Amino acid sequence: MLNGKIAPDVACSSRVRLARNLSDYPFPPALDDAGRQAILGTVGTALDGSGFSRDSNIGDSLYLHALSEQNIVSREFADDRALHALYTDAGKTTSIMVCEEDHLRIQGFAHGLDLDTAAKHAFGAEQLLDGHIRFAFDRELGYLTHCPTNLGTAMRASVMLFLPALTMTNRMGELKSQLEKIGVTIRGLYGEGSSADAFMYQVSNSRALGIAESDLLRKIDAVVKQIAADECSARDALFRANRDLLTDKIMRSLGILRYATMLSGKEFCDCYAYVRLGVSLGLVEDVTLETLDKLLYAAMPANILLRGSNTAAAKNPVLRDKLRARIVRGSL
Amino acid sequence: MMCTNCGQSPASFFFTQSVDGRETSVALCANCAKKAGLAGLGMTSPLFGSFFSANDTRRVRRDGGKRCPLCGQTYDDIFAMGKVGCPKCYDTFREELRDTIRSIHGTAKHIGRTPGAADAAAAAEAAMTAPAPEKSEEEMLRDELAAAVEAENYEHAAELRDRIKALKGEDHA
Repeated sequence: MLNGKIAPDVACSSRVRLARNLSDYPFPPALDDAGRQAILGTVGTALDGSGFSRDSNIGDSLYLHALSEQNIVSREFADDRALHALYTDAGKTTSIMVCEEDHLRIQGFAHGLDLDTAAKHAFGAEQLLDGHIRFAFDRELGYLTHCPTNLGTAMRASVMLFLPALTMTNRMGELKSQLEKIGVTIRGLYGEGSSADAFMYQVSNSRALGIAESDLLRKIDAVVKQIAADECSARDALFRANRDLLTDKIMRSLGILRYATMLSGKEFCDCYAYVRLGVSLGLVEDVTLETLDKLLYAAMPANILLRGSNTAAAKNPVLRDKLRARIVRGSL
Repeated sequence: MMCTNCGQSPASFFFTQSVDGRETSVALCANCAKKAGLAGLGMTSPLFGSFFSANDTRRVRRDGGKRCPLCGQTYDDIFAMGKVGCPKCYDTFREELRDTIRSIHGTAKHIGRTPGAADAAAAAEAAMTAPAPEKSEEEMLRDELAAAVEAENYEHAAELRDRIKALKGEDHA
């Protein structure tokens, strides 16, 4: 059964992404503006009155990149200047990217390890569209996608994990190769090719053909629970062996975040990770995980600039680092 | 050139694989390629991107010059990009793509949802809360086989394939 409770300081959030395409159009990279317009029209009609609204701000590149830092849209979608659209529901539990790599990328979100809820959001949105749109589907290959690695259920279930102890004890390489053998991928905070900033990782399925959605969700759920158990044991062992050093590192990090007047992205991520670990270990009692969850995104470059409404800072790293430090001080 | 695995027969499958950042040329005879689960594959690596590596010496035009009626792409275009032009391409180049897809996913048979499910939300909920079905030994071996091929552990893959055959009571010879 899904949704077994694990410590929220290990599993931060869950996401289920579905790729869907309309059968009569080339995939977006080969689609001209007229084709994109037609798809946007079809999707707009399908979602009319559904509770989803089209985000009219995505023409602003900074805004769009801020959304990509929050994983609401993909980095590729934020970088793409071609005609596309984004729909979200009122509660921001679901997003629909139109004309990303596939015609539709539907994402459902949930807090902690809760793939069940994330999947319900994503399938709920898919169901709204299914009645109006003929999805590209093949009995043998499942849902048809631009990249053949997404064929089948065209579903990716991912969970964001905070793994400081497994990282510090150099066990991530071993974990990565073990997971690869069972068709599971572990990557940095922003997916493919990204680094594991702040000891944050994303675990997701690497294959989607030949395994039903429910089995895929169960598989990722079980894998995450196992990783979380390993991380908790590693934290205990790490703390027992290095209590003084670790406590000092955590408290120094908290001091930097609370009092620094300039913070680079890297310094923020490093200190953030230790403070988060300090909260998990009960060493930092006056900061909540909820505050830290919000802060992680608020301190990313596009979100800083968006919040500061300071266009000069976009080209001035010193100013950006000052803004970041101010935001962090204000949160902690 | 003789097979780099058994050294007994002439090699007919050539490819380059990257292990720990080092590229190694591999040449297999038909028998060893079959044991490794590679026989009949359009490409050779379990990751799609690698299939379209410029190092793939077996790259040949397999599509007879045909074009997809919807997007106009040829199989060579797909090969060069590593991605597919439109949904219709999967039908147009079904035979050319099948083995490649099978080696990416370990299977070429979809299991799961289909469009137009009566009540997808309810169906998804029911599926998620249903007790996990027990997997047969053959299913578990097939999962393991797919993982072994993905990890390029062809020796283990060949063993697993033999065990699956034995389970199904097929002739080993």
